[in-house]
Amino acid sequence: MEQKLKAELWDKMHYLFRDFNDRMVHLELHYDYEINIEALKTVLICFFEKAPVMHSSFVDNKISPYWSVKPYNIDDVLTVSRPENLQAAIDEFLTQYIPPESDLQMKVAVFFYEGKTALCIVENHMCMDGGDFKYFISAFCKNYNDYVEKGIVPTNFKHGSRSYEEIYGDFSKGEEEMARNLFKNVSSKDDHRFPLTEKSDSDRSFIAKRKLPEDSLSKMKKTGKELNATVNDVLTAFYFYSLYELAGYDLKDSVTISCAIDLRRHLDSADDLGITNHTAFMQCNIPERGRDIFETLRYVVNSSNKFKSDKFMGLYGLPLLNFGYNILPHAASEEVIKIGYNNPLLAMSNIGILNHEALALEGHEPFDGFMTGAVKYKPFVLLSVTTMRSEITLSMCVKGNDEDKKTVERFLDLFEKNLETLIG
Amino acid sequence: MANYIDYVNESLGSMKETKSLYLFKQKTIEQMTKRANELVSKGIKDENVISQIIIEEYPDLVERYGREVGAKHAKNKKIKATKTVVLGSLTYALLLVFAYLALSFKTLMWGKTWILLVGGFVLPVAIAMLAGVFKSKKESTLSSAASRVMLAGSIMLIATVLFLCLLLFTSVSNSWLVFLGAVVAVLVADAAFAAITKQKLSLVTYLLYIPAIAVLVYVILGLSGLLAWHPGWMVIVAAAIVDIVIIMLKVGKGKTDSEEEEWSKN
Repeated sequence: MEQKLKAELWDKMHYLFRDFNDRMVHLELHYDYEINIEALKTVLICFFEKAPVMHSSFVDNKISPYWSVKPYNIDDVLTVSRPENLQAAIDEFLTQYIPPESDLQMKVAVFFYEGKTALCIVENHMCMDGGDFKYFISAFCKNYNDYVEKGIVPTNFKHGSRSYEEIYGDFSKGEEEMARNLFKNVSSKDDHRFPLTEKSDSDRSFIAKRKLPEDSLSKMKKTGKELNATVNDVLTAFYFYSLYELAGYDLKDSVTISCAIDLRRHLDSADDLGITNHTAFMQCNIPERGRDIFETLRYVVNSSNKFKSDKFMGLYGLPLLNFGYNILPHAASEEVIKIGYNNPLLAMSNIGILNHEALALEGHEPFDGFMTGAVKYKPFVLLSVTTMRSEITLSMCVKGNDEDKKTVERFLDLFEKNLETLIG
Repeated sequence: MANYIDYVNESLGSMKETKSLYLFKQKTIEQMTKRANELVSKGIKDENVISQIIIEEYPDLVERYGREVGAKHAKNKKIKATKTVVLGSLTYALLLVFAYLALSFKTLMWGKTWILLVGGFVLPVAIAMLAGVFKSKKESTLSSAASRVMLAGSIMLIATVLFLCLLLFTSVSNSWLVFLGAVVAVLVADAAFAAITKQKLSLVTYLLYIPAIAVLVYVILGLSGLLAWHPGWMVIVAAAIVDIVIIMLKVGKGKTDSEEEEWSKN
């Protein structure tokens, strides 16, 4: 008998985003030893059994979509090889596309090279966001270690409700009532674009990555402290400043970048929830570029302070989306929501810290790694940021051509150059 | 694969050995073995891991057994009740037909005695529908939309029997007005249901129903000759005024609530 899982609000929203991006979230970690494949398989299967959405096929029923749980074998999930060209193998693996109708929503690859391991994971954003993906990999490493070192069965993985409504769980009755009435549409209305070429059939997915100089984080923190800005504010300011230069915007133009925020900030703990999405966008707007990077930063700080002071940050629009999906059959709801929803042309996601201690396997901490968001289809772009061992990695995943690749690399060059200007 | 079998035996070891407990254990172990095979097919080679996964999926076997026994009793009770209802209905139907035939042969009023059959079959259905509405409200087994449809349906069935009785046994000329009256009764009953079950948008229901009821009452009373058309139309104006008063009271209450909330916040 078919086992069905409910398609939650965010599952449906990320499915709607199929026109804007490939919905894949990517992770790459490098260890200086060869990991135990049998143990890895066992841990993965245990996690898949706890989170059956990972081996479910999304059924786009026009009235009411759902997940259909499917049988699987771990060898369909995991690929193990010793590639001749490591980087090519990693790029090919990470830029793959998992269709939502696929029986599996996560793929894992282990590439052995020179006595080391590159662990790569690609998963469907419909199942979980960056926040829960970080939880996934930390839980994986902990369970792996407990299993290999102590023989503890690796079933310590959170499972619970995947509903968006859980985000109201720690509000008082009055606050919850107010939050459930935030029907405002807060999607971005800015037309400024990243200067990519027009869409073409020959476009291919690529991940452009740049690791900032080693001491960048500490310098950003220091500078930020002096200027009453967070590291996130500083990064956003660099994004704006570099973009004005790259795209040639009029310096007096007002530009908006949509910044991803983790809605779990409204919860005391997410430990009893299932893996899911709880991410929304807040619009960071600056009225003009400003005379220099310092003024840009000041504008960014003003903008981010405005939405940080809002108790219900990120919760606007959720009731409207829920209403949109409930009043009509799914196919009709999608069309109605597409009319009102503007996918941001410029976006940023500071995924945060990948804790190298928590990600250690059998005492071996990862010596390199990063996580990044979905491959965006032109004209949309997303700058992802992760930090590991105090090193910041910027990444941008785009489906484009060689010229687009050069444009993205040029943007990252400008970013580094502006970094020097602000933090020296 | 002994671990989960030991788990089953240990968990239920303190319970009195009965046939149903034995069958439950057998069934549970069968399910667990099937699950174990499934996990092997997925790629797990470690028997301890397989056992642990299965054990975690079957917490508190005593409670599980209790629920299964309870469900079995409930099922048997339901089967018994269904048999009683079926037999009872058949008996009732036969007795009704017998009563109709007896009355018809005795009085030879074949043109009127059929009402016994119609009333005898339709009224119990209407009563059963009403009973279903009250039961489903208590047990939340039906959606509110389905309950409201059943409520309306039962009222219309009763109205149909009433109309037929008036037609057969009285000389009331406008007996068809019973149906307009039934519509009024449906709207009143629906509004009451919405109020009792605290439906969302029940205010909109009242605002729509009040003028509709007023119009129907005006027509019924007018056609019956109980109310002059003029100035009887004022009933409709009065209904509109009632609507406005309700809106004003609601808005006023809303303002008071938010002021109180603001006050208690400060």
